[in-house]
Amino acid sequence: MDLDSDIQMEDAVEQTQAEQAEKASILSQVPISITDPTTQRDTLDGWIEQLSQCKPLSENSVKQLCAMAIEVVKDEQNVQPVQVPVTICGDIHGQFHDLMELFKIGGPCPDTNYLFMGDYVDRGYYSVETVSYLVAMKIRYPRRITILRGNHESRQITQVYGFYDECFRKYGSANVWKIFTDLFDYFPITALVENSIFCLHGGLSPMIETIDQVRELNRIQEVPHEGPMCDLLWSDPDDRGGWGISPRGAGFTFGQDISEQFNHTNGLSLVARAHQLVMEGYSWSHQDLVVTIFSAPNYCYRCGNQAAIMEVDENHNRNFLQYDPSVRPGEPTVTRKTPDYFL
Amino acid sequence: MFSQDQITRSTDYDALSCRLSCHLKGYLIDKYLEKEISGIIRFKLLSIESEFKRLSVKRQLSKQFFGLVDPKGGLKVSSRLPVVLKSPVINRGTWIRTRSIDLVIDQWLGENATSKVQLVILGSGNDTRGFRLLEKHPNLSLIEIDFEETCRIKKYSILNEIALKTVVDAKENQIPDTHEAFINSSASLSTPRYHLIPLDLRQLSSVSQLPSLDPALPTLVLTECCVCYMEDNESNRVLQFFRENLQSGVLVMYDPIGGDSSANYGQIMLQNLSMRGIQMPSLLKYSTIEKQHDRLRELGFSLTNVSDLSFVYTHWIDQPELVSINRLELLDELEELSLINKHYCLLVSSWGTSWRLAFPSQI
Repeated sequence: MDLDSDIQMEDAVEQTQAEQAEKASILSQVPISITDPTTQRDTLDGWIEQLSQCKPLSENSVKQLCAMAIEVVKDEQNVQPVQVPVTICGDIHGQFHDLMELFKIGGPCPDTNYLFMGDYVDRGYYSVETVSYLVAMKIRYPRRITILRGNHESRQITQVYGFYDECFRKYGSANVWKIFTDLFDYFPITALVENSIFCLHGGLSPMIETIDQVRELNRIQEVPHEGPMCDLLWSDPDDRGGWGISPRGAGFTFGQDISEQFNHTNGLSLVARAHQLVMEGYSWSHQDLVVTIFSAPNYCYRCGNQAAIMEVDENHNRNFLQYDPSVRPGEPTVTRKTPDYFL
Repeated sequence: MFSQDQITRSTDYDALSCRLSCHLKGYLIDKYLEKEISGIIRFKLLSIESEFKRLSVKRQLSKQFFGLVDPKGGLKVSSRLPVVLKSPVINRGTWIRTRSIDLVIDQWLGENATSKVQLVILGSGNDTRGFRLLEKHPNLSLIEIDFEETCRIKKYSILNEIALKTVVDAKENQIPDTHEAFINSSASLSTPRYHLIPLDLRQLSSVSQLPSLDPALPTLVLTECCVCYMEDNESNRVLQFFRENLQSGVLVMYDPIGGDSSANYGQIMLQNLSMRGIQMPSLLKYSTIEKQHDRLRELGFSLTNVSDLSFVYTHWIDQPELVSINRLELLDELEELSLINKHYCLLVSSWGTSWRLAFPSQI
């Protein structure tokens, strides 16, 4: 019998995961008053504790979490100002255990300030836990952690790349997916570190010459298929000069001449972005005007790449920390689906 | 427990599921695929004795084929696509794999359009490529070789479907309807143009085992993710067998390569595949296109084209086609696609003929 050899148990295990986690969490029984700061803090600490063990919250708790998060992020700016020191991170993609490794390497939050440049969900097996954890941390330490929107924080992309499916598997309906994707609309789309480092998920847009033009966008919407907001989340730097058509089907490619002009116009030293798998975890382009940071090691459990984060200290010195996938002794491999190959 | 061979046979279903995803997304047009898969589901289930196991396999098949398995057993594709097919990166990789091999075969067949030729597919599994070729090329005869269990399922999938039966020109009508009758039936199928041969390729030692093979005819031998599952002395013997026993031929080989040892892509691939018990004994030995090139040269082949699939993707496909492929779905994972494609190679070699592939070679 050929196929039995590929029994993959993740369904059976995961279907009850959220349920079990809910039972385990006494806190989920407690009604939450968002207006009472002490209760709110205790509740959040409970959620963070539960999530840090990679146990998803109950649907009800996710609902409350996201309602609280909207209150926090809706008033942030399209270009959210960030101060040094800060540690800047790229794509995570549901690799929860590697996110925990990131906090080990970079130092625990809130002792270290963090700026995440999007793509928390899709591809990895723990998108729900990953995004829940980061959102909970954001609410708990709003000035210590900044979370930007990536092109995967969108309804359309998550239906193709796994987050929708994972929500359905773990909660038995699409409700949690809907709650999160509604929240994603409020995430800021760029950040500006001390008026010097412009941070965003993808790259530049031919329709954006100044940072002030980003400030004028109405960001609270699904990521559009085209236009400046789409480009900021989808574009890539390229060796060819000028603007080019992106082979991804959205955004543009931009050459060094474009980066030079943009950084000059806006008085920037650097554009920091994520979005592209780079084997060393970070990669300079355009003669150090643009840096790509990718923080999901062994991406998709298949690529064999290193991950990196970029520390920027009080004196604006930059330092890259590279890391490999977290070692997870005792993690039952049966819960992990074998990544696809051409066989 | 499952034997290594059973595990290897299960990879056929991965390939089928990838092709179904590509077909449903519009990357590949394959009018035989849905019919073939319907038959496979039916006869796969018939091949299992225990009712309980049958249920479990049905559940797995349903998962493998995106929940499109009809309760009655066939494949049911409605106009509404299932939400989750294979990821775009896998679709793109499956498309270039299939498309590039098509390009090679089409060129070879095009240049042999007026004479009788034969195509031998090693470890053909349940692939439908041969059916499409038989339909298009009246001078072609096709020989497919795979494990007995695989051939038996394929044979009855063909006989069960009029379109498949017609394209291979089969006259047989007997289709077993009980498990007993099924497992005791012959797994081979032979028609004037099509020969399905149940044979463990590692046991191949004499042309007498392949009576339908005509050593004098111009022949293209295709091995697509087949010899990678063998020990390298076994796979080399298989390749050499055709080189030595056919007067003239073309070998087309698509196989994974472990990559440069400084990166650990191949190591991770072996670890991941071992979670399913899949082994690829020579993945790290023939880990680059250069090493594959040297391997075949030592076996007496002269290589005309050696490329990885990332090279093929960017150098073989013309722009209008790439543009239309790019339109099918957003691909956010370009870097990953290129990385994965760099770990598959396509080798084309010829002997006893002046035929040369017209596409650029990486080395």
